[in-house]
Amino acid sequence: MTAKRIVLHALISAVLAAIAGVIYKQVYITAFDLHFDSVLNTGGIIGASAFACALMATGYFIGYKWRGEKIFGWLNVVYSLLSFVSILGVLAFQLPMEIDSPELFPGLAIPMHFFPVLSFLVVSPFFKL
Amino acid sequence: MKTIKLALGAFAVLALSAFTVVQSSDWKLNEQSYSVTFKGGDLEGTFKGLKTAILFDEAVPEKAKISASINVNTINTGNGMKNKHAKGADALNAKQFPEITFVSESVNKKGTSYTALGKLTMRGVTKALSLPFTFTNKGVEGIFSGKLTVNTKEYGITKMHVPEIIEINIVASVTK
Repeated sequence: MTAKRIVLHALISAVLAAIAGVIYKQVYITAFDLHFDSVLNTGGIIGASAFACALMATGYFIGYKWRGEKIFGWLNVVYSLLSFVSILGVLAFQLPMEIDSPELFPGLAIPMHFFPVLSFLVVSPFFKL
Repeated sequence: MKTIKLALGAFAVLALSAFTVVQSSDWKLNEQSYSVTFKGGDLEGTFKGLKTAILFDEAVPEKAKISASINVNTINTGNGMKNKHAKGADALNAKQFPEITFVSESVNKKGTSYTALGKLTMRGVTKALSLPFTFTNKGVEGIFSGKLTVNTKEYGITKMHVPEIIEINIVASVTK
């Protein structure tokens, strides 16, 4: 039952994060007339959302087995901090030279780094164990 | 009648000489087909906005005149922050010096390649520099391919993490 709930939690949050990411990407690239598809496309957004949510769910599962439900609060803090730290990777990321306006890439990628943790925490109360 | 013949003769000479001048290779840059790339240490990137004025004939390279300029504001390192730093006052200072220019003073041929000796102006500092290049002649088209080796400190670039030596590669497709 625990594993089933956590898997469902990961699945729902991954879907929400992916939807948010794809919509944000479309709005952003349309607004600025950008072409970042070679480094950040819809498939990549869905894959990254699924991976991040699966990772967080795995942490939840292991944490629950180890310390019970009280560990979730600390795990949420860790997930949020990791999301913040991950934006350093975006700032240092080097795009291929043929892509124009690389200064606009962080504006696209940084918010997306928060979507998985945001959706995971938002739906979290619906999956209390 | 004599006057008309003289006038026609003069016109013929002028027309032929004008045609010869046109044929003496005023090469125009194909703006869709060139690349200016640079690399030094772990810094690499491209420039756009290349402008050239090339008078070059393989038969008389010593009479060649080559000048080229690039727009500093078009620098692209693939990273927005690096681009901003590269254009900054302690680096290329794009606001005050928006162009990097090279003007040849002489061109020598050695084997199948050439060397243009001239002046490179970057960041308001002008230094003598040699530009080794090759030229591939394809009739009315050609490709110039050259490499500049620049010592950034000589041009007053003191910004941290900027490599001292940067190589600038230029490949330009041209037409007559």
